[in-house]
Amino acid sequence: MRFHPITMLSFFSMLFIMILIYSNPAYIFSLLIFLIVLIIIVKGEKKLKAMIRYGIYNVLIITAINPLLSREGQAVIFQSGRMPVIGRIKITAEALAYGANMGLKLTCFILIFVIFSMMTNKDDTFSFFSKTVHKLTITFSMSSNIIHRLKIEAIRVKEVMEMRGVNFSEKKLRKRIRAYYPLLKVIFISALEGSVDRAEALYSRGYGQYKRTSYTCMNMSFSDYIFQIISLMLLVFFLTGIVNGVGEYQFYPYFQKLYTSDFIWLTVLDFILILTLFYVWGCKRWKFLKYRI
Amino acid sequence: MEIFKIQDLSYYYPENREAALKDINLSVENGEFILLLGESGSGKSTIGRIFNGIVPEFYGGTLYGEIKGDIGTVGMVFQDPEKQLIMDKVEREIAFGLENLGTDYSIMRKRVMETLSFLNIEGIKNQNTYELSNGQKQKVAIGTALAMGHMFIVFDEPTSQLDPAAADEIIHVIERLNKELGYTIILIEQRIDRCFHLADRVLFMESGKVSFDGTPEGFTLWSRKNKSSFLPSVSGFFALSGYESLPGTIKEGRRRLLETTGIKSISERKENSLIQGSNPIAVKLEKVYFEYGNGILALNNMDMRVEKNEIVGVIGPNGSGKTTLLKIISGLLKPSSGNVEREEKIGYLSQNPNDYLFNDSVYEELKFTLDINKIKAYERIERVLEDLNLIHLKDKNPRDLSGGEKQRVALASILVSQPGLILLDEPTRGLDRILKDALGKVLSKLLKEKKTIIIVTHDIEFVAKYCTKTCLVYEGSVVEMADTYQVLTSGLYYTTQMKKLFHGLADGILTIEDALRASGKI
Repeated sequence: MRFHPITMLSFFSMLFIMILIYSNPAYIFSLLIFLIVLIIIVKGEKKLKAMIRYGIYNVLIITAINPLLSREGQAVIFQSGRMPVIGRIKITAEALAYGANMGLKLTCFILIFVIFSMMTNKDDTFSFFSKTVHKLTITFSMSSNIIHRLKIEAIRVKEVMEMRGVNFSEKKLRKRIRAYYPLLKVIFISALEGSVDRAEALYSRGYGQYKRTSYTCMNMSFSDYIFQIISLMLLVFFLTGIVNGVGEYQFYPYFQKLYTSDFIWLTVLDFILILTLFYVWGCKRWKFLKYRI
Repeated sequence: MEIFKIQDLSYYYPENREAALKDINLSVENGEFILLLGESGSGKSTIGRIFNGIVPEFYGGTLYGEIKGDIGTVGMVFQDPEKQLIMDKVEREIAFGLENLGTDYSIMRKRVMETLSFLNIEGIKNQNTYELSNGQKQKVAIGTALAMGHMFIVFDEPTSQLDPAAADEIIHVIERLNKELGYTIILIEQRIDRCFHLADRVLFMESGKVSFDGTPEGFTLWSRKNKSSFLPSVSGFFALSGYESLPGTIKEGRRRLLETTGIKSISERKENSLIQGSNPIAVKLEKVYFEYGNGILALNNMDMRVEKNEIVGVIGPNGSGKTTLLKIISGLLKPSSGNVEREEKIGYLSQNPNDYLFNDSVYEELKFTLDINKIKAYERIERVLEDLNLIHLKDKNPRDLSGGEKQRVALASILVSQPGLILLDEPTRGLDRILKDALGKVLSKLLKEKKTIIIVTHDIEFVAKYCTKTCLVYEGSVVEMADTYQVLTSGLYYTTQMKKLFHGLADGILTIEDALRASGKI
C-alpha cells in the first residue's frame, strides 16, 4: 500500500494534533483503537505486538509516576506520613487516571509513526523531500539506515568483548556501565570511520552536485484524493469541535462530568474513523481502488 | 583510442609529507581491462581514485602533474559493500545515482530496468539493502555505477569481503561488462588466480610508483625476474620450474603439463610430530544440534573431535554452519541439544580486527585484556608483541595501523591471556599474499608452543599450507574430517589450484612445493 507522502503526512499530522490537543480519555481511546485496527488492516500485527507491549509498559510507568509528582485530586486512595525531603505521599484516583491518559496518548504517538512508515514508502518520502531539503533528508535517511547496521555491529562487538573477558552481566550498575564502555567506544569509532566511507560513496555518485530528480513519479491518485477528503473532514470536525470545547476533559480537582453532547461529537469522530478504516480495507481488497493507489 | 592520460603525476594526502603517488605516467585505452596489483599501501586505491576525481577533490591534498580525460564519466565500486549503499530498497539504490545526476524519469526507469536485468537481480529489487548478502550488496553497488551510464569503472578490491562463490560471481559480472558491453575496467584485486586471465594489461605498484606496465605474459616474466609473489599459482609453479613462457590459467597449464614427461605422484608425506589419535582432546562435540530463533537449523547432529596441538581448517559453503560451530565451541552460543567439551581458556579472533581496537596504544590494548581478566603479569605484553613483530608499534594508536598490523594486534590482544585453544573466523579475509604468509608463520609458531587452533575460512590455499587437519562442513554436519592432504587431494571444488592443475596427472599434490617435487624440480 503506497499513498503519496503528502496525503499520508496531512492525514497523520491531523491525527497527531488531535491526540495532542484532546484530553478526553474517550476520544483518546477511540483514536487508539482506530490506530490498532488500521495497523491490523495493513498487516502489521508483528510490529503492533511489540508496540502494544511497549505501550502497556508506558501506561504503567506514567500511571505510577504521575501520582508521585502531582498531589492534586480529591479521591484519595493512599496517603503516607511525612517523609524527609519528599514530604507526604498522596495518591489520588484523578492523578492515576491522568497518568494513564497521558500513557495512552504517548502510545498513540508511537503508533502513528509505526503506521506512517507502513503506509508510505520510505524511499518515496526521501525522494519527495530531497528535491527541496536534500541535505536534511539524506541525514535522516542515513541515520535510520545506520540503526540496523549498528545493531548488527553491537551484537558482534559484544561477542568479541565477552570472549576477551568483559562481563556484561555485572550486578553493580557502576561495573556494568564500565563493561559497556569499550563496546560503545568501538562502535563509536567504527561509525565515525564508516561515515567517511559513506561520504566518499555519496560523492562518487554525484550527490549534491547537480539538481536532483526523483525516480518515483509521484502524482496524486484517485485514492489520494479520497484520503485528502477524509483528512479535510477530520480538519472540519477538529476546528468546529475546538470552538465548542470538544475533546476537553478536566481531571483535577475532581473528575469532570461527561455530557451527552460529548458522546454525540464522539460518534461523529468515530464515524469518520470507521469510514477511514473501511476505505483502507477496501483499498486492499477492491480492485477498482487497489489499482488506483 | 586513448581515453585517459596521466603525466608526471605525484600526489600528497593532506598533512602528509610522503608522496602517496610518485611520477606516475600511464594511459588508458577505451575498452581495456587493466588489472592493478601491488602490496597493501602501495598506492593502488589512491590511483584508482584519481580517475573519478575523488582524489584530490574529496580527500584534498596536493596533486602535481597532468590528467587528460573526462573525470565525470568514471564510476567507482568500493571494497566494502556495506558502506556504499544509501537507500532502503534495491531498486531505489540503483536509481540513486541517476537521481543525483538529474536524469529524466523515463530514462531513469529504462536504465534501472536494464541494469536489474543485466545483473540478474530483478528478484531482489524490492528487498531492503541491509538484508542482502555481501555478494548481492556488491552487485547492487555495481548496478549503481552501471545505471549511471559510466563506461569506465574502477573496482577497488570488490571481492575482498566476499566468499569464493560470491567473488566468482562478481568477477564474472566484471568480465561481462568488459566483454559484452565494452566497458573500460580497472580492477584492483588480491585474488589474482580468479582474474589474471581476464586482463589485457597489468599494472604493478610499489611504494607509490608503477613498477610494471604491460601484458599479463610480460608480468609473469617480470615477476619471475623480480621474485614477486604476485603471480597466479599456476604461473608461479611454471616460473619456479624454469619455463620460459608462463601459462596463466589451469587450462593452459594442463596443456603444458601433458606435453611434459617424468611427472610422478607423491606418496610419502611429512608425518605429524604427534601420533594421530593419541593426543589429549581440546574440543569434542557429540550429537550437537543448534537452531536459531527463526527456525534455521544451523548445526545438525554435529560430531567433531579436535586433539590438542593441531591447526584445524574448517571449510564449506556459506550457511553450512561454520561460524555457528565456532560460536558453539567458544561458548558464545549454547547448543539446542548435544554435548560440548572444550578447553577452558579460549581466545577468539573475529573477522573484523577493528572490533578489538579502541585503546590509545597497542600496549594499552593488550593491557586491557590482562586487566579485565585480573592478570598482573604485564611482562607478557612485550613478549607477545615481540613474537608477533609488533614491538616497534607498541606506542602507536592501533586504529592508525595497516590492515595486516591491525589483525596482528587483535590476535596479540587474545594471545596475551595465554589461551590454549585459539579460534579464528576468516582470518585471511582482505589480506594480500605477503600478509597471509606472515599470519601463517605466526600460526605455525603457536603450534610449536603446543596451542590448538581452529580456523574457519574459505581460503583453501591457506588451509593447504598451514592446517594439519581439515574439516569439511555441509548443512550443519561434518562431511569429512581428516589430515589436510587426505581431504583436499580427494576434493574437486574444495581443493587448491595445484591439485586442479595436476588432477588426473599425478596424485598427492596440493602446494607448489608438492608440484615441484612431482615434476622433479626439487
